[in-house]
Amino acid sequence: MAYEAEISRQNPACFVFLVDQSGSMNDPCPGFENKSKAECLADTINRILQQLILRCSKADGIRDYFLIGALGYGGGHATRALGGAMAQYPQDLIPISFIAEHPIRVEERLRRMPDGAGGYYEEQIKFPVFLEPIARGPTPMTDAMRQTFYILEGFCATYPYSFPPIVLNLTDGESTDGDPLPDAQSICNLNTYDGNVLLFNLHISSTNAKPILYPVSEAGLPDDAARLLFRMSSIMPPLFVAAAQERRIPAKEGSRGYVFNADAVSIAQFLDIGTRVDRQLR
Amino acid sequence: MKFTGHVYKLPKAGNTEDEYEDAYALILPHGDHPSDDTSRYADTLRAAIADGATESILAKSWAQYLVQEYVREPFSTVCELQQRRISENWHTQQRSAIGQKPAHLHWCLQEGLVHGADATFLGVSIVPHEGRWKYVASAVGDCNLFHIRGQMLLKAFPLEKPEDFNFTPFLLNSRNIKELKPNHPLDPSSPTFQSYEAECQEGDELWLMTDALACWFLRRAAESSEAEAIQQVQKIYDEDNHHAFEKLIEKERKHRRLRNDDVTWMIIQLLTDSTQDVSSTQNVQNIHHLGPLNASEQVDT
Repeated sequence: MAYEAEISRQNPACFVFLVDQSGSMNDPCPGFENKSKAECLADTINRILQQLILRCSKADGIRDYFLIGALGYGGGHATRALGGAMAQYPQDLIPISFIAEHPIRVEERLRRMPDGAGGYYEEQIKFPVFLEPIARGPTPMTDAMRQTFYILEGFCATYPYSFPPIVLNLTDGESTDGDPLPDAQSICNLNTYDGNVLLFNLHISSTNAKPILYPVSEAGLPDDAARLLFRMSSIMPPLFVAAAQERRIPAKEGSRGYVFNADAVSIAQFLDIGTRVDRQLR
Repeated sequence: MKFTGHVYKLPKAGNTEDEYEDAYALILPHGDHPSDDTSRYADTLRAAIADGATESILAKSWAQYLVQEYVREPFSTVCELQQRRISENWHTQQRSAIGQKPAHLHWCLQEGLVHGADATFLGVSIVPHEGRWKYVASAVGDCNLFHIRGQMLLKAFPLEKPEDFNFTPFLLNSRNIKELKPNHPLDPSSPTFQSYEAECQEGDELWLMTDALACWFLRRAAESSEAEAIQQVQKIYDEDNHHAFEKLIEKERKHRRLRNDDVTWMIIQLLTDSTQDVSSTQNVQNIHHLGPLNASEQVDT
């Protein structure tokens, strides 16, 4: 059976975040008040990195269950998306403990929490920032896919018994440096003994159109760009279908890891579902 | 009636003993030092196991706190936990400990406390009852109790079949407990205690197992026979054979019949008063000591 490998320090899991940083990411994000798509993505990815760190945290330190890669694509080509000391890390894939210990900064923020009786209260929290919002130039998605292929080729050779890497691509547009499909397919053909690399794609909406969540076919997708991202997306293994269903999201057998016209809520859900490998954590 | 208690435990394969995140505690009734336990539970055997959830940050500490609080004074409802301010006291302890940790962990530990720690839990008390004895069990999640008589499994609680075990058991979350309002209708997804009680007698055994081992045992019983499954594991403590336990666990993990998880197995034997003591009695403080891991620990009274 595939996608069942235990995640341990000897056999870590790998997540690669591909973040569209093109100029159009400056546009407002549907469902995220007064924030651009770039800011929405940065907030959501920072939050998911916090969650991944917390899943690896014990009272005595952070266990390296995960290796994290992040590439931003905007301007000429794809570059590392995590800032500060993480941008200088000698490898493309960074151990989660290093990320935990080297945020760009830790902000004080207010968070609304349910009070258990139907109301809310605000509490001050520490919010570590690992990735800054950036929006500039064209969309070199194909370069990002190609770099990801080489990064993960190395990972699969080094950790052949690991849970297969998961690539989460978040974009609001079309590639401006050629057809990304062949490179996406090359990524998906990489494998560990536990299965093929998974590539999930999310298209961020510019309107308030209803999101299309984890479709099983191209029927109903409005244009070629949407169909291209569908074809680039892996079929979701049962583990991820179950994670979606637990959140009452209508994924089913055969669903692709693909969301079209995502708003702020579905961006957060996409990242949460795509990193839901807790059951494999040892 | 006399009681003996044994505990066998092992961390997940690949983890060190320090990384074991189950917890257990046991206090035997009376004992040689009755003055150590002057509570109204002095004539009650109190045992508890808990399994800290891997993905929550302070799970080990929370699991240990729960079992120690149970053996100090048994509880069986969320309200009792609230009245005793168990969650608040634990959170206060943890918050004050953060300052002693390396600075780069502070945001993480603080955020961990915001989410709270999770654990499954099983507490069992054996109390005198109309001239006889009965046990009272309370559980949240999938730590399981087995009532054994000879080669028979009289009761499995709270889960009865191997397929009842899944990856989403109810958990006692330290923060949720604090925030549940006693007079507010509970969210259906909130943890609720399940309770069970039954008479027990001399010669009976109560086994408390954390989920992976409990599921394995029920599957063994379903695939072969209860008697065969019981015999297989009874052999281990009949011979008090630590290595046999480790070997069994390793073999079953290797063949993927036993999920790779921390395992804890507490055995409480109900003996006749005439049974000879085979080892020295430990006082109350030592009995619920959660010290360095050995493959097994034994206490008698």
